[in-house]
Formats: sequence, structure tokens, C-alpha cells
Amino acid sequence: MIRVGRPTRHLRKSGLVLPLAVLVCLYVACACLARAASVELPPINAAPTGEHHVGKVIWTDLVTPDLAAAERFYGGMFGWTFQPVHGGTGEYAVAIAGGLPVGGLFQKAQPAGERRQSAWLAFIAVSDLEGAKRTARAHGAKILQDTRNYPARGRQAVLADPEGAVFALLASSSGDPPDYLAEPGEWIWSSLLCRDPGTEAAFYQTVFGYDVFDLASDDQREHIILSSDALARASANSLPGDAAAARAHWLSFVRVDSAADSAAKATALGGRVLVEPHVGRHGGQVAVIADPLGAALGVMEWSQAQAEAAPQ
Amino acid sequence: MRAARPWCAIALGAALMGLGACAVTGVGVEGDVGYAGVGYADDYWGGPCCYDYGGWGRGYYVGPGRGHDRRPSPPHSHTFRPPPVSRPTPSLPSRHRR
Repeated sequence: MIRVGRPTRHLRKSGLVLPLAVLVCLYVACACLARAASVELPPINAAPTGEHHVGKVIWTDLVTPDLAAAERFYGGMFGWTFQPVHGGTGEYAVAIAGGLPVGGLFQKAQPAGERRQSAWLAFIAVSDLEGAKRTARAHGAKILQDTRNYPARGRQAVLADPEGAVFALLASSSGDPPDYLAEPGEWIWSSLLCRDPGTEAAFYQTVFGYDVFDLASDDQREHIILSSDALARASANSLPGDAAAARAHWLSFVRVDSAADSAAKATALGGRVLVEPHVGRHGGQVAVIADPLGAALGVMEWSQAQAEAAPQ
Repeated sequence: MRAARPWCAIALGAALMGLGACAVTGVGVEGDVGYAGVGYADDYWGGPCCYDYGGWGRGYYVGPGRGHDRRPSPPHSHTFRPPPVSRPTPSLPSRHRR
């Protein structure tokens, strides 16, 4: 005869039932906590691309104190939809445009008692993250966040360049996005606004191997194009405002059909217009707006018709 | 004495399992080992508010050119290495995804 109840009775008799229950609870709680604190950031591409474009701005993340408000604004502005990613020390959502991931929104509480700037962070592609970090540091950059590995997204680090403009390096696990012209609602351009564009361009050339083109300008301010793979990747510009008071920073632009309509929409959605729409060098209109939490971004028109009419 | 023994074993076991779970998921681990929570360094809040775009007006250009833009002649003196003046300034990609 098989005596099924015997082990249970033995456990109960030896007083092990309660301790074992506590052990199981502890294990489950610890595993849950660990899972909640870790998160897997998704790849930056819908499918692996197998392409590498060192020096290209391949991703942008918004750091904001209010994710829901940011989603309302950017959804209304550009028709983005959002895919939540839970976990870690904040909430994160991937912004989707035309079925493709275009950026991330990361909620993080403002440091108590401080008024800090919510901002978009530009991620620049590298193939050798540690090498790029080493070179950047040797030429005056500061590491703000050392290497983090998100297996699906890739390896990344956050730096401040010699003038303090914050940017990130990303060695993407799914490759870099192919070089297509951005569609409306996608990021099309990034500009570094700084005190000394020539010296800053030399820094970025050293780190990313850019070809650097100096453009003629009518207002004595510098306009420098950073290029790789024979394509324009970004610009370095003199700060537009009072350089003594302003801080160097990266500003990224979303392609839109109408900068004027986008500026009006930004105001209607609770944002602000920082620079009124005006014609850019390429012939299309450009404007700078801020979302309701203060993060600045540009909107830029880009069309063939404007190209043909553009001043040289 | 006998009653305390299972509790000691339980406590030790729990601590070991907890450490194991944390190590597997990378909790508390910075750098390039394992997973880490979403987060940026506090520094990334990036200094005091706010940006100044006051001088941004007509003639202040930040965008890409169209590939036929003028380059200064003679070239400005800079610390970066410019390509030969004969090379046209690159522009954005022209290929469309769709």
C-alpha cells in the first residue's frame, strides 16, 4: 500500500511547512522585483537591416516628466502611436510612425526642487562603442552614463561634448536604419547649436570620421555640415541667441508637410512656438517648437519643388 | 536550538536565491553586464532650463543644403579637415522607402 500522506505529515511534524512557504514567497517576490526593475528596450528597427552608417543620427529619446502628456502632444502633432514598455526606474514608450519605430519617450521625475530641461536626446551610430567613447573622452567629452547593454536595442552610452551638448552613442543590435528620405512625421535632420562650431565639428569629425563642409553664410554665423557615406547627417551652427547665456545642445527636426500648420497645431496642443516658421537654406519652411513640458524640437518641410527654387 | 536550524537554512537559501535572481536579471548592475533598467544618468536632465533662440531669424540656417550650396572661398580657417573645395556639399538621401 502506498502511503501518500506520509511526506506531508513528516514536513508538518518537523515544522518545515511554514519556513518553506516563506522561502517560496521570498523567491517569487524577489523574482518579481527583479523583473520589474529590468526591461528590454526593443530594437530600433522593425526588422534587422544589416546596414551600418557610422555618424548617422539613428534614434531619439525624449526624457519627460509626464509621459501621458507627451503622448497626447506628439500623437496630435505627428500622428504617432505609442507602444508601452514597462519596467525599470520609469515608464518608456516607443513612438511609431507609418508602422516603424521613430523614437522613444521616457518618463522620469524631475529632481526635487530643481527646474531642469526636458529634452530629446539624439543617438549617433557607432560600430565600436568603446573605441568611440575612448576617443571622445580623450578629446574633451564627459561620460554622463557609461555603457549599458540592452540586447535587442544595442549598446549605448550618454556623453556631453566639449561644450556640454548632450548626445548618445548607439551600436544598434539590429543594424542602422537604411538611408531613405524621411517621410512626414519622421526625424529628418539634427543640428548642433554651439559657441564654436568649427572646434565642435573637429571633435565630431575625430569621433565619427565625418567629412566636414563649411557653408557660406550671409550673417557671419557658421553653418557646417557633418557628412558620412556622401550624405548630410547633421549640422553644427553658431548658437542663435546670446552665446554667453545659451547652452550648447542638439536640436532634431521632424519632417512635416507645412511648418506653419505644425506651429499652429503645437500651440493648440499646449506647446509653444520658439522660432516662427521661416524659409531655410533648402527652400522649405523651418520652425522650432516646444512641447507642453518644454522639450524643444524643430519641424522642417522638404520637397523637390522647394529644392528647385532654393537659393544657392 | 533544533527549532532555529530550519530558519537559518531558509534565510541562507533565500539570500542565495535572491542574489541569484538579481544577478540573472542584472538588477543593480551598471555597465555592460546583463540587463539594466531604463534610465539615464541624472546629469541627462541636462542643466538649467531653458534654451535661447532669440537671435534665430532670417539668414540663420541650420538645415541641410540641396547639394549645390556655395562653400566659402577662400575656405575659413578651422581645426577640422575640410574636403577639397571641388567636392559638392552632400545633401539628404533622395531614395524613398515607399
